[in-house]
Amino acid sequence: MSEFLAAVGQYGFLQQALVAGALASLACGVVGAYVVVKRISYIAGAIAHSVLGGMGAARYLAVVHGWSWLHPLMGAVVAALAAAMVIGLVSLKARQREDTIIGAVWAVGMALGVVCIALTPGYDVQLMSYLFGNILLVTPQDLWLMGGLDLVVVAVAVLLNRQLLAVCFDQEFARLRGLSADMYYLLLLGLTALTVVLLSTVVGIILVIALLTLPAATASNFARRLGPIMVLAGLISLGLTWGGLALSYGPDLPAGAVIILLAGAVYLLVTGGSWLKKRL
Amino acid sequence: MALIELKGVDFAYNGHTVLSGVDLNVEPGEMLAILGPNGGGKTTLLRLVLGQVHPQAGTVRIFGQAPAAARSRIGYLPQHAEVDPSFPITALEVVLTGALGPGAGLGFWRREQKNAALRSLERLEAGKLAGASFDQLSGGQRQRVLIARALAAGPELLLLDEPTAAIDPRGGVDLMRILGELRPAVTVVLVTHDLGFVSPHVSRVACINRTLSIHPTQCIDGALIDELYGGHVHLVRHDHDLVPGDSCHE
Repeated sequence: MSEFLAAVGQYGFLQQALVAGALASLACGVVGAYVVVKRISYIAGAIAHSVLGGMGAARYLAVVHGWSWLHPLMGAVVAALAAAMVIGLVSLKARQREDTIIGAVWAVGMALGVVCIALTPGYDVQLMSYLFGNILLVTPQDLWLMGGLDLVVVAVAVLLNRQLLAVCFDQEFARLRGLSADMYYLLLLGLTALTVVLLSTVVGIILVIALLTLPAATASNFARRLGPIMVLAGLISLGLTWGGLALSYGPDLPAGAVIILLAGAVYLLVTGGSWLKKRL
Repeated sequence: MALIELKGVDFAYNGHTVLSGVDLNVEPGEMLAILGPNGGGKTTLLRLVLGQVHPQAGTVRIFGQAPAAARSRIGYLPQHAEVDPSFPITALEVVLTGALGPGAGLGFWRREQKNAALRSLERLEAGKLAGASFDQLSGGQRQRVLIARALAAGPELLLLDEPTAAIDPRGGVDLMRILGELRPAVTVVLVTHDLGFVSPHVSRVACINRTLSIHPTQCIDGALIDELYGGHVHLVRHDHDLVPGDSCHE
């Protein structure tokens, strides 16, 4: 640990990684809580995997067609929002087809990404890092984009907290009350999409569902209201990302995978402890 | 003017007739019970009143308006409310969501909204539950909180789909007493299988099994119930008196 702390003081890339972890944790706490209570983690999974298509397409356009301004994170945002809207609209208009469309978006997004990678000359280390995560490769430009996404996600989630609570608790009742329940549901999926992009920078798109849901699920063992769950989940996520980073540094392990293993262990420990406590 | 007015209403779902030739008038301040077997069209009738579904024939007018236009004046308790009992929310927050409508604005709950929600809980004699977590409430307490949610926006018409389901007998009797006290300011229409709970509070019962017929409460007897449900049904409780000379059919 002391080796890690000394390195943080010394290396800018580690400082940037810690800032990235903090930025991701902010959105993770707020949106992760909504995802867990609304039980839409599979939708979040499909959105996450579709992100590869957006990043692959952005990289292809940047390298092959000279759109050098097109950052892979921009492609990720577009793909994630498009996937969220497609799943959301099908879910609202033809509920019985929801699982089919989730599976389709999940696989088609990945396939598009793989094809774009194949069409882009050279072995793209950056793209592979988005797939499996490498928080140590985060650039200052990434941090600004992440900060912007954070601002949007947290501002919308806080300003519309009552409407989102009503829709998450009982969507049909909210609709009867005259709330634009469908619009708020799509908005929630949009926030989820942006958060998935943020978190994929830390742990990669394959592992992102775990970081989105496990901190909130762990926090729900300690709090019985949505607001406190969000705050606690954000703090847990911060502890997990920073802790995973520290644990992975010495033995030179992939940080994203270590963060997720840590998240899984904490969740099992807390949930198991809570289960035992109720029975003793 | 009748508060609820259905004339010659037919409704079919996927070619299957659910309601046929239904006529119904409910007057302001009345409490009406709707009784009938599962699949008989009780919930569909409420959904027609709410404007969630539309009749293939006939007309539905609520407060003299189309149902969707009158929706803001209606409070509704759905059958087996589609809520996750483990959702992290307090009873007061549940009730607050009932007052949230179009143009709610941005930000957090305001003090006057919280006070109104608390008053709504107190009408259901559940004020002390305000800070309790929804997942820690009993079935009867949850039902009271959800009815308080339906009352939160100050409706003039309250539609309740099986409000006494999954409540112990004492809780059911108490709940019906409280609902009776909401009148005449609030007109109450409730779907039930528990005639014993509602009979002291309603003067008319709408018996529905595809078609609808209205009966004075005191005329509901075992033979009528058996005919309605298509088999023998146990009647739990009747504590009203027969009035000689009353007509038993409208």
